[in-house]
Amino acid sequence: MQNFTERFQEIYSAHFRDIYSYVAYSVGSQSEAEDLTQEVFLKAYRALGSFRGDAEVRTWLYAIARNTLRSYFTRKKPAAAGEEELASLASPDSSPEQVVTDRERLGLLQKALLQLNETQRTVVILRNIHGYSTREAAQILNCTETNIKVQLFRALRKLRKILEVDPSFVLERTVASEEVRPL
Amino acid sequence: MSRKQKLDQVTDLLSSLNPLEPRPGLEQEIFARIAQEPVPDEPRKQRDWSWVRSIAAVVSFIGALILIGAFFYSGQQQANMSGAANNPAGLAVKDSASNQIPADAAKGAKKSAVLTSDAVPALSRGVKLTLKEPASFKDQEEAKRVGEAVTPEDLSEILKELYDAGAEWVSVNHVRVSPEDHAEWQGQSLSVRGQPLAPPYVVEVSGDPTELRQAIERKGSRIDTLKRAAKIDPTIETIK
Repeated sequence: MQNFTERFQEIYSAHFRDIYSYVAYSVGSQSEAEDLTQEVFLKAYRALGSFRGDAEVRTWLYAIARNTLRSYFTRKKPAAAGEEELASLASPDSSPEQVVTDRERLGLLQKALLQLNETQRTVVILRNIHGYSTREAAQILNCTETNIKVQLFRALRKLRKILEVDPSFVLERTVASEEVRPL
Repeated sequence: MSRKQKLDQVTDLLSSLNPLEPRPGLEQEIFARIAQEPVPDEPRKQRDWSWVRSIAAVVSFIGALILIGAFFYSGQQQANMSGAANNPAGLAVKDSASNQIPADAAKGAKKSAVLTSDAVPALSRGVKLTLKEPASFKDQEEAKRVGEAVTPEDLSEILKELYDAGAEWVSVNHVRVSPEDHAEWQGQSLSVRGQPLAPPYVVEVSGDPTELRQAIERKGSRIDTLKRAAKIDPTIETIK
């Protein structure tokens, strides 16, 4: 029993921040992120005994997190996060000036991320925000590296189309071939 | 601006996003809540069923072989029974040409079915006809020369008449013959189905004795002709 608790604590400490960040970027709300992260680790705690170790713990946890998020989005349509919630998502490592400067841009980026589908958003979070390699992302999502690259390309293309219609970003405008929802 | 450059711009923007840090104390709070949960029961150790699966596979394979064997065996038995139904004597069915025909074919070709010579059954109902050639002839050659011996044509015609009279089966000197078989000379001797026959010719005919006897004794029948013209002495014995 002691071993079980120790094992869980080890996993929890190693992956809590990663999972929290992934969930927070996925839902765009701090309070929801906290609740969902707790739900993810509670499920992991209950299922740890039956975890056979066929996959990496990280992959297993991300799978639980993705399933939890799917259930969450099924229950509740994701709404664009409010300004305050977005602000609270800003990294505390940033300087106060930078926080103020980047606040809007980060908020808009966050909103843009929420317009991606679940797979594309997950790929962007893993690759561009968490800094995982394509191989690691493929391992986590249990798909091929090619699939990751394709999903990432589509996600970036869509993000660009979303962001270039917003004056806050100095992206050179192009003729958007697909209609996007203005932020 | 190329497509790649445009996408690089987005990538740069995304790189300004850092992994989100939870508020201070959140990690401990959540862990404390989870720790209050009862420790889940250890799942039962997975039993290794691979050996059971292996044995089951072997047993299934053997079972399948047995079933296939039984299927073919029963089919063979059925064919034999079918053949036996058409041949009350319960003998193996053979074709006159190839010595082997399927059981189904034998059903429809009752008259053409014959039995091997060594499998002639005991005559239980019918007539036993003995054709005795005149003993006065010094040898068969002389008998043939004067036309007073049983010739292949005579024997073939006799067999045909017997089958036409309703014979179930006919044997000559214990050689089963069918209506399609023909007698022929083999050296100095008559032969049917390649087997030489020596006089006297004992023809056993299975069937209704009354009808067979009427056919044999009918005026103008081949035997009647032989009796009168070739001085062949036929002996007819009724077996009931």
